[in-house]
Amino acid sequence: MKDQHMGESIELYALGALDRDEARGVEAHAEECAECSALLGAAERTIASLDALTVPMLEAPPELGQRIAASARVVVPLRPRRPNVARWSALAAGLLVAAVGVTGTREIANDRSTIAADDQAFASIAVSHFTHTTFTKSVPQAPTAKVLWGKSPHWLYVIVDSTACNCDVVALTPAGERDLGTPAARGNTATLFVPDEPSVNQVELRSGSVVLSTARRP
Amino acid sequence: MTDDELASKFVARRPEALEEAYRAYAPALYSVARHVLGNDADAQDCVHDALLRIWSRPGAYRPERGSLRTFLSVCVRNEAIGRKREAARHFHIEQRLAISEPEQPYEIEIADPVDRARLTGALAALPGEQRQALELAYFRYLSHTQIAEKLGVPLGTIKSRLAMGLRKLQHALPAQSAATL
Repeated sequence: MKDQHMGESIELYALGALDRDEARGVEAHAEECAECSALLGAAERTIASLDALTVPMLEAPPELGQRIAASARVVVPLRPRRPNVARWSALAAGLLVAAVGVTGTREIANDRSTIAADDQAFASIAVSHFTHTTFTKSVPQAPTAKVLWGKSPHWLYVIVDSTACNCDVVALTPAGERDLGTPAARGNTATLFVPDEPSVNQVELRSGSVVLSTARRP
Repeated sequence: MTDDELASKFVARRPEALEEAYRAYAPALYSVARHVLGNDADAQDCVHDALLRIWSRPGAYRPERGSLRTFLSVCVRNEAIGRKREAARHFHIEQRLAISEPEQPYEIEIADPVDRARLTGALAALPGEQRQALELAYFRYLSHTQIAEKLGVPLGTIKSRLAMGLRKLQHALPAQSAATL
């Protein structure tokens, strides 16, 4: 039964002998499979036994606890199929407007959802490491844009230097394409924050089916 | 709070569960990262990032996996090993490690003579080729592909040696050792 699932990868994962991508595959499988999760747990207990014999016990620095506590407050768990916060908030706000007939409420709700997404992005930027790349334009009229790539959790923050671009951010992954959402207009820019997308190493800005620009994780 | 209660809160994703888990297991998690990476700053980054990555994935831990403590400890260890390999690649050390290191057993540094005898006895009971592969993976942090290259053995063979060796150790090492870290 074991060989039908993860086979020897169970022990290799527990040993830390797999490459990162292989390890991520084992983790993803274990999340869905109770049997492999139990086998993995048994292998991990052996590693813990080895660690108990070979790793000198040290006190953790107090500042590490404070840092983890601060970060834990801003990390949003990844859902199986992540809805776009700004888009759904705007939709909810739009329905509310229709119900009560107060047209001004919609803009306020949009602003609030955008501010909330940006606030989450700024908090992630403040507490984690990240790199950034500029989108490479595929067409001359593409807006200037940049993406910040968080390192663990692998959040993305796309900043488009235009509010006139009605474009989507599309992730290119080994499993195929995935629409991550539409950058929300804010002042002179439009932004999109995606809390955790570990499998995404390349994104495109698209207007309909037209690829405007591309960015890759360094 | 018991380990089981803490694990239940972690599975239920109670907002305070990550902090509480860290507080409960901080010495073990930090010690593992520090042992692999060899310095405080990298160890802190490693523990922080590993825990946050786990916390951002709701299904990462499930009760069938066993104790939350062991799960978190292995996750931190794997993150530390990944970082160590990445740094080695960056500084071109990996190649030197693979080529120039002598083919001698890892010198196990354990102060307690009883613990030392327990581990060396368990390792000595393994077939030599399984013990050699395990030592390169566990003590040297080499990946299966690196071990295969270093020993000049097919990758599939190395995978089998590692898996078989660890399964045998699973029975040879007393489970209560894990509770002390």
